[in-house]
This record gives sequence, C-alpha cells and structure tokens, in this order.
Amino acid sequence: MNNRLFSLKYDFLSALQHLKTKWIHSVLSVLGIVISISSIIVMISISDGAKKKTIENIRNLGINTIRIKNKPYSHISNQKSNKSSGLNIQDLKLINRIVNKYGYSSMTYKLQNKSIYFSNGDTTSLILGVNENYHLIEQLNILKGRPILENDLTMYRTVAVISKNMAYKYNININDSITFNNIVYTIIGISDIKDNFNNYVLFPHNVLNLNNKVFDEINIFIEDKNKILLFANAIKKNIIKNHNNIENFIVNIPLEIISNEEETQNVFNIVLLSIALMSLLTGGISVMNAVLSNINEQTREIGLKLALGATPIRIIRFYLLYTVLLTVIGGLLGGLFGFTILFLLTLSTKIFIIFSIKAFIIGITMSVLSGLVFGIYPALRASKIEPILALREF
Amino acid sequence: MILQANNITKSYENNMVLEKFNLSVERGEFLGIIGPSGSGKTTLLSILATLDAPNSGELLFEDENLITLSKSKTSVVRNEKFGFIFQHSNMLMHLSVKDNIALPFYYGEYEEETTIQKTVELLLSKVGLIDFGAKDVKYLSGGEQQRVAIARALVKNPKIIFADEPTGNLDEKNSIQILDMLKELVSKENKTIIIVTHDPLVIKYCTRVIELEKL
Repeated sequence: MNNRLFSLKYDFLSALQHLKTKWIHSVLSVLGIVISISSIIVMISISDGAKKKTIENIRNLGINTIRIKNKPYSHISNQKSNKSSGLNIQDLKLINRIVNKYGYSSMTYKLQNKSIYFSNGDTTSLILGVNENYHLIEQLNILKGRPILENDLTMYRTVAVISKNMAYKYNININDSITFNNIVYTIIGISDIKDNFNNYVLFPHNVLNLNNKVFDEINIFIEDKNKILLFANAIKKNIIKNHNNIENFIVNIPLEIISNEEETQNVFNIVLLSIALMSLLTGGISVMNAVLSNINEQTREIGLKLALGATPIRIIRFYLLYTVLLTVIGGLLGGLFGFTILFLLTLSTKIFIIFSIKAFIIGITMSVLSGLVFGIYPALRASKIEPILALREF
Repeated sequence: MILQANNITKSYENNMVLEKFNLSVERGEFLGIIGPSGSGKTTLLSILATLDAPNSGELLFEDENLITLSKSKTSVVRNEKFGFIFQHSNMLMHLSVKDNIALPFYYGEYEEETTIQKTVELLLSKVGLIDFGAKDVKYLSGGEQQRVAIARALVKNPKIIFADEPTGNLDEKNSIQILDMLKELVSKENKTIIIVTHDPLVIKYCTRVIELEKL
C-alpha cells in the first residue's frame, strides 16, 4: 500500500467513525439532501414514464407516416365548404403521383355505430372502408386469413375483415357471411384489436356505395424518414390547389410530433431539475452549516491532529470526505425514499412510471458533487486552524 | 546542539511576550522552563515546537531554520522528530488507547500495520498499560491518560519531547511515576525533553532550568 492510499484509508475510516459517533446529528443534517434527491428521482422517473408513454402512443401512429384528415366543418366557413367538401379520390391519386416509388398511401371511410348482421345475430360496429395499403400503414396484425388486397378492389369483391373480438363473440369464422347495408360480404380475415376498438369491420372502400362521401383520412407511408417533411409540404401544397386554395384538412406528421413532444418534455425536465437543484442547494447549505458547527466543536481535535503531524491537506481531505460521506448517505436515503414513493404511486395510481436507474445515478452523483462543493469551505476553514490556538481551547 | 532559538520575538497585539530571546538546547538535556504566569513559558514552548510562529527570529533544528519552512513541512518535522505531552492529555475520546497512541503513525509516512501494532504494544507495556490497549481512552483515569500521552509522544521515536505542565492535573504519586518515565527517556535513550512547569517536584528532575521574566 502506498503512502497516499494508506492515509486515504485512515481518513475515510476516521470520517466513518465520526459519522457513527454523531449519527443522529448526521442524519438530521442531511434531511434536505434526502428530500431533494428523492424528488429528483421521483421527477425523473415520472417524467421518463410520461415521455415513454407519449412517444409509444405517437409511434403507434407510424413513425414513417403522414396523416391527413378533414378539418371539422365548424372550422370552415360555409362559403369555403361549398367550394371544396374534403379529401377525395383525386387527392389520393395526386398523392400517389407525388409519392410514387418512395412510399404508398391508404384512405379510410369511417362510419361509426353501424348495424351489421350475422347468421346468428347483429351488432353495431365501426365500419372502415379501406384500400389495399390500409393494413400495411396501420400495422394491422392479421391473425387468420388475409387482409384486403388490390384484387379485391379492382374486382369489386364483397369481402370483409373483422376484429378478433367480434369473431370470438359471435362465433364468426373465415368464409362466413355478414350483411351491411343490404349487401352480403364474405369474411376473408380476422385481425387484432386496433386503436382500442374492439368491434370493427374493414371493407374494400369501393363496394360500400357511399354516394361520393368524402374520405375521412388519407395516410401515407414514406420509406425514407428524412424525406417525410419534404413530401408532407409537397402534398399539402398540391391538395390545397386541388381544393380550390382552401386548406380544409389537417396534416399530422408523427415524427414531428415526437420531436416536438421531446422538446416539450426536455423543457419540462429542465424546469423540474432546476427546482430539484434549488432544493439541493438548500440541502447543501444545511450540510455545510452542520459541518461548520462540527468544526467549531472539534477545534481542539483538529489542533491536536495538526500538532501530531497532520498536514493542512490532510485536514482538508478529512472534512471533504466527511461531507461527501454525509451527502452520499443523504443521496442513498433519498434514493430509498424516492423509490418507495414511486412504488406507492404505482400501487395507488395509473401513472406510467419508469424506475429509473439513471435517476438514481444522477441523484448519487449530485449528492457527491454537493458534498464536494459545500464541503470545501468548512474544510479550508478547518485547515487554517492554528494548532496552538486549538490546544489552548478548553 | 539539537535546537537553537535566535532572537525570537513574539507579541500578541501590543503585548510583547518574548523579545530577542536566545536559547540553545543540547541533545540529552532535561530542560525546565519556569517563570511567573504571563512570562511566555507556553508561548516559548509552542514556538520551539513549531506550534506557533514568532514575529521574528530563527529556530534551528538539525541546521535547518524551521521558521522558514512551509506548514506542510513543519507538520512532517513535528510528526517525525517531535513528541508532545500536554497538561490535559488531549486524547481523542472516541478512540481506543491503542488508536490514540498510533495517531502519529497515521499522519505520517506509510508504515505496515503490523509494525504499528508492535510499536504500540511495546509502548503500552513500557507505560504499564498493556491490558488497556483495546479500552476506550475515556474510561481511563487522569494519570493513566497521561501515560497514554507519553506513549503517543514516543511512538515515532522523536528526538525532542515537548511537555507543557504534564503533571499539572495529577496527584504526587502519579506525577512521580510520569517524571520517572521521562527521566528514564533522557538517561537511557538520550532523548531531549523541554518541559514547562510551575512544580518544584518537576524542577528537581531537570538537568537545566531557565527562568523567564514578565516583560
């Protein structure tokens, strides 16, 4: 063992012993650190959970997609709505020309709560009129059979894909029939739940006879993520032209929403961390006060150590170690307290929380740093004690 | 000559305590410093032991002026060459007897733990406290604590032992025990002892006594 390690080991053990002899005083002095570190851990864990959940939700929309839907009628003046009624087949053709080989598009008619009939009953369901790309863009999981394909549309086949819940509930299988709007359709596929809809049926849009109803949505998949914004701008510009210069639709880009969301989350995190740092500052100052009062009590002891050969650097190091030990204990207690709060929150609320090890590491690092920052002044003060003055003080 | 003070002057605010004070100390001396209260006995001892700095003058130890050394270097000199016995034993009460004796080792150059323990055991038997090593020092009597202080002063085999009224708080029996130990250090190990005292009993043990007067 070299000299430095030998003295470091001794100073560390002495600092530990010091803490042990005054443990109530020590624990009380680090309460501020405990609270601030636990709040850092709670804040980061909740914020990370919220961030993950939001991003997951947005990601479910498809990160490589552009989503266009009609603006609600209330947002468009009567005069304008007469000029253009909304998204239509011309828009879809235009988009396909723009996107060309770089991607593909789907369209959707949406009809809520429509009656459909089976051989053994009837129910109300969400009806979706779609094209051959719908299942690809919506990442629809076909559990049995097949999705709606291009041939179904070109040959005007009266086929349908139903949700697994409906299939299970009404005992419907592939090749069974369902009736909608007096037309009988053959079931060709059973798919997984989509967007929390338990009951839905997909039909080829061109067999639905909807009398020129406008599309509810047009969704576009772009292979290259970097080109999404470029295509979105081009598509928007051209649809506006198609709609007699009326912007009666909304273009959503999940990728952009994610980055905006991340930016908002980062700002939120900065605000939260600033608050936690303020409380760390207060905690650090209270530790500094405690160490200063310790030094006043230990003037004789410091003087004795100096008289016996301790260098001022050793005194500085001892008090820095002592303060860092105090704040690290505060950090560990804060971690324990923070994770307990998070555990209780997961039991009692539906908040999505990530038990963040990153937050714990940040907390401990912050407590070490606060120990170093707030320990340096008391340590310097202790090292300046004159041995003779210390020995005279009884 | 082991220690020489030349023209040492020390004042506190406007109160002159020592003025151009000169002193030479030979190896193996048992030097007593006496004088009335306020004459500067403890101040002189503190300056000779580098615990305090004079306003001017030089302090030669082994041909080196200790006044001009940095604080860290004087710490090393105190650790390796000097031993201290104070009026109050100045123990760290939360430590055991052994740990108190070993303190100078832990503030000096690296030493094997076995060497430290061996030296401490040897000194414990020398001061008659062999069975007290593991005990917390706070449970010892005043006389026993002062014997621990002697063991601590000797643990790094110093050349000079500075003692500030080491028997001041002891009864006669304990005082004689302590003084006999110190005398043995001078006669058998050729240590140098510089002792500040009021006690006529202590003066009897000194090989030379200097008397300070109040300025």
